[in-house]
Amino acid sequence: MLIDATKKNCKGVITELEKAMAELKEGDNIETIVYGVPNRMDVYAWARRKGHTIEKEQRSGANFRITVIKGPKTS
Amino acid sequence: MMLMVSVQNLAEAREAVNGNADIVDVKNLDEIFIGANYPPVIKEVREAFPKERHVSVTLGSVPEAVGTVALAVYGAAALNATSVKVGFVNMSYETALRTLKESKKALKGFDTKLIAATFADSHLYKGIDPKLVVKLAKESDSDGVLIDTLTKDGRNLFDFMDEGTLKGLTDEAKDLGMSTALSGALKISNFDTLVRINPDIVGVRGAVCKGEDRYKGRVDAKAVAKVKSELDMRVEGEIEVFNEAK
Repeated sequence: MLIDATKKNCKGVITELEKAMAELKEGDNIETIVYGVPNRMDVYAWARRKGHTIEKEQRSGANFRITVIKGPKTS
Repeated sequence: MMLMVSVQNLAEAREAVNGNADIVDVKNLDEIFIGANYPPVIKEVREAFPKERHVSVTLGSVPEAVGTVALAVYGAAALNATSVKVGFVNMSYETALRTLKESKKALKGFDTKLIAATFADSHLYKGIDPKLVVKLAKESDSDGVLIDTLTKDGRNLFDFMDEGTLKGLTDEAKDLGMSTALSGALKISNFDTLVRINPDIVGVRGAVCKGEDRYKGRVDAKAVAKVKSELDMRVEGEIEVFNEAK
Protein backbone atom coordinates (compact mmCIF):
# COMPACT_ATOMS: atom_id res chain seq x y z
CA MET A 1 0.00 0.00 0.00
CA LEU A 2 1.28 3.48 -0.86
CA ILE A 3 0.15 6.70 0.77
CA ASP A 4 1.19 9.77 -1.14
CA ALA A 5 1.07 12.52 1.47
CA THR A 6 3.03 15.07 -0.50
CA LYS A 7 0.03 17.25 -1.21
CA LYS A 8 -0.49 19.89 1.39
CA ASN A 9 -3.33 19.31 3.74
CA CYS A 10 -4.39 20.56 7.13
CA LYS A 11 -4.40 17.04 8.46
CA GLY A 12 -0.99 15.51 8.10
CA VAL A 13 0.37 12.17 7.11
CA ILE A 14 -0.03 10.64 10.58
CA THR A 15 -3.81 10.59 10.26
CA GLU A 16 -3.53 8.69 6.99
CA LEU A 17 -0.95 6.29 8.37
CA GLU A 18 -3.04 5.59 11.47
CA LYS A 19 -6.03 4.72 9.33
CA ALA A 20 -4.08 2.58 6.89
CA MET A 21 -2.12 0.75 9.58
CA ALA A 22 -5.32 -0.28 11.34
CA GLU A 23 -6.21 -2.34 8.27
CA LEU A 24 -2.89 -4.22 8.21
CA LYS A 25 -1.64 -7.35 9.95
CA GLU A 26 1.56 -7.41 12.00
CA GLY A 27 4.53 -7.78 9.67
CA ASP A 28 2.76 -6.13 6.72
CA ASN A 29 4.30 -2.96 5.38
CA ILE A 30 3.15 0.34 4.09
CA GLU A 31 4.94 2.92 1.97
CA THR A 32 4.41 6.61 2.31
CA ILE A 33 5.82 9.62 0.50
CA VAL A 34 5.99 12.71 2.66
CA TYR A 35 7.01 16.25 1.85
CA GLY A 36 9.60 17.90 4.05
CA VAL A 37 11.96 17.05 6.86
CA PRO A 38 9.52 17.65 9.75
CA ASN A 39 6.96 15.26 8.27
CA ARG A 40 9.70 12.67 7.84
CA MET A 41 10.63 13.17 11.51
CA ASP A 42 6.96 12.82 12.44
CA VAL A 43 6.77 9.44 10.68
CA TYR A 44 9.84 8.20 12.58
CA ALA A 45 8.51 9.48 15.91
CA TRP A 46 5.05 8.03 15.23
CA ALA A 47 6.55 4.64 14.35
CA ARG A 48 8.57 4.69 17.59
CA ARG A 49 5.50 5.61 19.66
CA LYS A 50 3.35 2.92 18.06
CA GLY A 51 5.99 0.20 18.05
CA HIS A 52 6.34 -0.03 14.26
CA THR A 53 9.58 -0.49 12.32
CA ILE A 54 11.07 1.77 9.66
CA GLU A 55 12.41 -0.58 7.02
CA LYS A 56 13.88 1.81 4.47
CA GLU A 57 13.88 5.34 3.19
CA GLN A 58 14.64 7.04 -0.10
CA ARG A 59 15.00 10.79 -0.54
CA SER A 60 14.15 12.73 -3.69
CA GLY A 61 14.54 16.47 -3.17
CA ALA A 62 12.25 17.42 -0.31
CA ASN A 63 10.20 14.22 -0.65
CA PHE A 64 10.91 11.13 1.44
CA ARG A 65 9.65 7.66 0.51
CA ILE A 66 9.50 5.65 3.73
CA THR A 67 8.57 2.00 4.22
CA VAL A 68 7.06 1.15 7.61
CA ILE A 69 6.49 -2.41 8.87
CA LYS A 70 3.62 -2.89 11.28
CA GLY A 71 4.97 -4.02 14.62
CA PRO A 72 8.50 -4.58 15.92
CA LYS A 73 11.47 -5.81 13.91
CA THR A 74 11.39 -9.61 13.85
CA SER A 75 14.82 -10.60 12.54
CA MET B 1 3.29 23.10 6.89
CA MET B 2 0.86 25.79 5.88
CA LEU B 3 1.31 29.50 6.49
CA MET B 4 -1.74 31.30 7.85
CA VAL B 5 -1.81 35.09 7.78
CA SER B 6 -4.28 37.05 9.89
CA VAL B 7 -5.98 39.81 7.94
CA GLN B 8 -8.50 42.51 8.74
CA ASN B 9 -9.86 43.31 5.30
CA LEU B 10 -9.74 42.40 1.62
CA ALA B 11 -6.72 44.58 0.85
CA GLU B 12 -4.68 42.70 3.44
CA ALA B 13 -6.05 39.37 2.23
CA ARG B 14 -4.82 40.15 -1.28
CA GLU B 15 -1.37 41.01 0.07
CA ALA B 16 -1.29 37.72 1.98
CA VAL B 17 -2.30 35.69 -1.08
CA ASN B 18 0.15 37.57 -3.30
CA GLY B 19 2.86 36.67 -0.80
CA ASN B 20 1.85 33.00 -1.16
CA ALA B 21 0.12 32.49 2.17
CA ASP B 22 -1.77 29.20 2.27
CA ILE B 23 -4.58 30.47 4.51
CA VAL B 24 -6.04 33.90 5.13
CA ASP B 25 -7.57 34.19 8.56
CA VAL B 26 -10.10 36.99 8.92
CA LYS B 27 -10.23 38.59 12.36
CA ASN B 28 -10.88 41.90 14.04
CA LEU B 29 -8.11 43.39 16.14
CA ASP B 30 -10.27 46.27 17.36
CA GLU B 31 -12.38 44.08 19.59
CA ILE B 32 -11.22 43.15 23.08
CA PHE B 33 -8.40 40.59 22.95
CA ILE B 34 -9.25 39.23 19.48
CA GLY B 35 -12.69 39.34 17.95
CA ALA B 36 -14.69 38.39 14.91
CA ASN B 37 -14.82 40.61 11.88
CA TYR B 38 -18.07 41.83 10.34
CA PRO B 39 -20.01 39.50 8.03
CA PRO B 40 -19.69 41.77 4.95
CA VAL B 41 -15.89 41.83 5.36
CA ILE B 42 -15.72 38.04 5.67
CA LYS B 43 -18.05 37.64 2.70
CA GLU B 44 -15.96 40.00 0.59
CA VAL B 45 -12.73 38.15 1.39
CA ARG B 46 -14.28 34.72 0.83
CA GLU B 47 -15.75 35.71 -2.53
CA ALA B 48 -12.48 37.23 -3.73
CA PHE B 49 -10.71 33.87 -3.85
CA PRO B 50 -11.53 30.42 -5.22
CA LYS B 51 -12.91 27.80 -2.85
CA GLU B 52 -9.55 25.97 -2.82
CA ARG B 53 -7.99 28.96 -1.06
CA HIS B 54 -8.49 28.51 2.64
CA VAL B 55 -10.30 31.41 4.26
CA SER B 56 -10.72 30.90 7.99
CA VAL B 57 -12.72 32.95 10.43
CA THR B 58 -11.63 33.77 13.96
CA LEU B 59 -14.32 34.34 16.54
CA GLY B 60 -11.58 35.06 19.05
CA SER B 61 -12.19 34.73 22.76
CA VAL B 62 -15.89 34.05 22.85
CA PRO B 63 -18.39 35.16 25.52
CA GLU B 64 -20.07 32.77 27.95
CA ALA B 65 -23.18 32.54 25.78
CA VAL B 66 -23.44 29.11 24.19
CA GLY B 67 -26.31 29.82 21.79
CA THR B 68 -24.85 33.13 20.65
CA VAL B 69 -21.52 31.50 19.84
CA ALA B 70 -23.20 28.59 18.03
CA LEU B 71 -25.09 31.09 15.90
CA ALA B 72 -21.84 32.94 15.11
CA VAL B 73 -20.28 29.62 14.10
CA TYR B 74 -23.27 28.96 11.88
CA GLY B 75 -22.77 32.41 10.36
CA ALA B 76 -19.14 31.62 9.52
CA ALA B 77 -20.24 28.40 7.84
CA ALA B 78 -22.99 30.19 5.90
CA LEU B 79 -20.27 32.54 4.63
CA ASN B 80 -18.35 29.47 3.37
CA ALA B 81 -15.43 29.80 5.74
CA THR B 82 -13.00 26.89 5.48
CA SER B 83 -12.79 26.79 9.26
CA VAL B 84 -13.99 28.72 12.26
CA LYS B 85 -11.92 29.18 15.39
CA VAL B 86 -13.57 29.36 18.78
CA GLY B 87 -11.31 30.46 21.63
CA PHE B 88 -11.80 30.41 25.37
CA VAL B 89 -10.38 32.61 28.07
CA ASN B 90 -12.28 33.22 31.27
CA MET B 91 -14.67 30.30 31.13
CA SER B 92 -15.08 26.95 32.87
CA TYR B 93 -14.02 23.82 31.01
CA GLU B 94 -17.62 22.53 31.10
CA THR B 95 -19.02 25.68 29.47
CA ALA B 96 -16.30 25.70 26.83
CA LEU B 97 -17.06 22.07 26.04
CA ARG B 98 -20.79 22.77 25.78
CA THR B 99 -20.06 25.74 23.51
CA LEU B 100 -18.01 23.57 21.17
CA LYS B 101 -20.57 20.77 21.15
CA GLU B 102 -23.34 23.19 20.19
CA SER B 103 -21.05 24.79 17.62
CA LYS B 104 -20.39 21.38 16.09
CA LYS B 105 -24.13 20.79 15.83
CA ALA B 106 -24.48 24.19 14.14
CA LEU B 107 -22.03 23.08 11.44
CA LYS B 108 -24.08 20.06 10.41
CA GLY B 109 -24.50 20.08 6.65
CA PHE B 110 -21.58 22.47 6.09
CA ASP B 111 -17.97 21.74 5.08
CA THR B 112 -16.62 24.29 7.55
CA LYS B 113 -14.26 22.80 10.14
CA LEU B 114 -14.47 23.60 13.83
CA ILE B 115 -11.25 24.58 15.56
CA ALA B 116 -10.96 24.68 19.36
CA ALA B 117 -8.58 27.36 20.56
CA THR B 118 -6.89 28.03 23.86
CA PHE B 119 -4.28 30.59 24.81
CA ALA B 120 -0.80 29.83 26.06
CA ASP B 121 -0.92 32.85 28.38
CA SER B 122 -4.40 32.01 29.64
CA HIS B 123 -3.24 32.01 33.25
CA LEU B 124 -2.78 35.79 33.06
CA TYR B 125 -6.49 36.12 32.32
CA LYS B 126 -7.84 33.44 34.69
CA GLY B 127 -8.49 31.29 31.65
CA ILE B 128 -8.60 27.64 30.72
CA ASP B 129 -5.39 25.66 30.95
CA PRO B 130 -4.12 25.68 27.33
CA LYS B 131 -2.93 22.11 27.69
CA LEU B 132 -6.58 21.02 27.83
CA VAL B 133 -7.11 22.00 24.18
CA VAL B 134 -6.75 18.48 22.78
CA LYS B 135 -9.10 17.02 25.41
CA LEU B 136 -11.58 19.80 24.68
CA ALA B 137 -11.40 19.17 20.95
CA LYS B 138 -11.65 15.40 21.31
CA GLU B 139 -14.66 15.51 23.64
CA SER B 140 -16.48 18.01 21.41
CA ASP B 141 -15.59 16.24 18.15
CA SER B 142 -13.85 19.38 16.89
CA ASP B 143 -11.76 19.06 13.74
CA GLY B 144 -8.64 20.78 14.96
CA VAL B 145 -6.83 22.70 17.65
CA LEU B 146 -5.11 26.07 17.86
CA ILE B 147 -2.88 27.43 20.60
CA ASP B 148 -2.46 31.21 20.39
CA THR B 149 -1.61 34.04 22.80
CA LEU B 150 -3.55 37.06 24.00
CA THR B 151 -0.61 39.07 25.30
CA LYS B 152 0.68 41.33 22.56
CA ASP B 153 3.46 43.11 24.45
CA GLY B 154 6.44 41.58 22.68
CA ARG B 155 6.26 38.21 24.39
CA ASN B 156 5.16 35.31 22.27
CA LEU B 157 4.00 31.69 22.36
CA PHE B 158 7.37 30.37 23.51
CA ASP B 159 7.48 32.72 26.48
CA PHE B 160 4.52 30.81 27.87
CA MET B 161 4.86 27.22 26.64
CA ASP B 162 7.98 25.25 25.84
CA GLU B 163 8.84 23.22 22.77
CA GLY B 164 8.40 19.87 24.47
CA THR B 165 4.91 20.67 25.75
CA LEU B 166 3.77 22.04 22.40
CA LYS B 167 5.28 19.07 20.55
CA GLY B 168 3.45 16.67 22.86
CA LEU B 169 0.11 18.39 22.33
CA THR B 170 0.64 18.59 18.57
CA ASP B 171 1.50 14.90 18.28
CA GLU B 172 -1.43 13.92 20.48
CA ALA B 173 -3.85 15.91 18.31
CA LYS B 174 -2.39 14.48 15.10
CA ASP B 175 -2.75 10.95 16.41
CA LEU B 176 -6.45 11.73 16.92
CA GLY B 177 -6.78 12.92 13.33
CA MET B 178 -7.05 16.62 14.13
CA SER B 179 -5.41 19.53 12.36
CA THR B 180 -2.97 21.46 14.51
CA ALA B 181 -2.11 25.15 14.48
CA LEU B 182 0.24 27.34 16.50
CA SER B 183 0.19 31.10 16.61
CA GLY B 184 1.04 33.95 18.97
CA ALA B 185 3.37 36.75 17.89
CA LEU B 186 5.61 34.29 16.05
CA LYS B 187 8.71 35.50 14.23
CA ILE B 188 11.22 34.01 11.81
CA SER B 189 13.56 33.51 14.77
CA ASN B 190 11.02 31.00 16.13
CA PHE B 191 10.85 28.95 12.93
CA ASP B 192 13.55 26.42 13.84
CA THR B 193 11.56 25.46 16.92
CA LEU B 194 8.23 25.56 15.08
CA VAL B 195 9.45 23.26 12.34
CA ARG B 196 10.68 20.78 14.94
CA ILE B 197 7.22 20.83 16.52
CA ASN B 198 5.66 20.54 13.04
CA PRO B 199 2.11 21.82 13.44
CA ASP B 200 0.01 21.62 10.27
CA ILE B 201 -0.43 25.39 10.34
CA VAL B 202 1.72 28.30 11.54
CA GLY B 203 -0.14 31.56 12.09
CA VAL B 204 1.43 35.01 11.85
CA ARG B 205 0.48 38.65 11.61
CA GLY B 206 3.03 41.02 13.16
CA ALA B 207 5.89 39.28 11.33
CA VAL B 208 4.26 40.04 7.97
CA CYS B 209 3.11 43.59 8.69
CA LYS B 210 5.00 46.70 7.65
CA GLY B 211 7.25 47.66 10.53
CA GLU B 212 6.30 44.35 12.18
CA ASP B 213 3.49 46.27 13.87
CA ARG B 214 0.40 44.05 14.03
CA TYR B 215 -1.90 46.97 14.88
CA LYS B 216 -0.64 50.02 12.96
CA GLY B 217 1.12 48.13 10.19
CA ARG B 218 -0.61 46.45 7.29
CA VAL B 219 0.04 43.01 5.85
CA ASP B 220 2.69 43.28 3.17
CA ALA B 221 3.08 40.76 0.33
CA LYS B 222 6.89 41.00 0.34
CA ALA B 223 7.02 40.28 4.06
CA VAL B 224 4.63 37.35 3.63
CA ALA B 225 6.79 35.95 0.82
CA LYS B 226 9.91 36.30 2.98
CA VAL B 227 8.27 34.50 5.92
CA LYS B 228 6.90 31.78 3.63
CA SER B 229 10.32 31.26 2.09
CA GLU B 230 12.02 31.03 5.51
CA LEU B 231 9.46 28.44 6.58
CA ASP B 232 9.82 26.40 3.39
CA MET B 233 13.63 26.40 3.60
CA ARG B 234 13.40 24.75 7.00
CA VAL B 235 10.69 22.31 5.93
CA GLU B 236 12.66 21.28 2.85
CA GLY B 237 15.89 20.86 4.79
CA GLU B 238 17.83 23.73 3.19
CA ILE B 239 18.15 25.09 6.71
CA GLU B 240 18.82 22.28 9.18
CA VAL B 241 16.75 22.49 12.35
CA PHE B 242 17.03 18.95 13.66
CA ASN B 243 20.07 17.89 15.64
CA GLU B 244 19.64 14.16 15.17
CA ALA B 245 19.60 12.25 11.89
CA LYS B 246 16.42 10.33 12.69
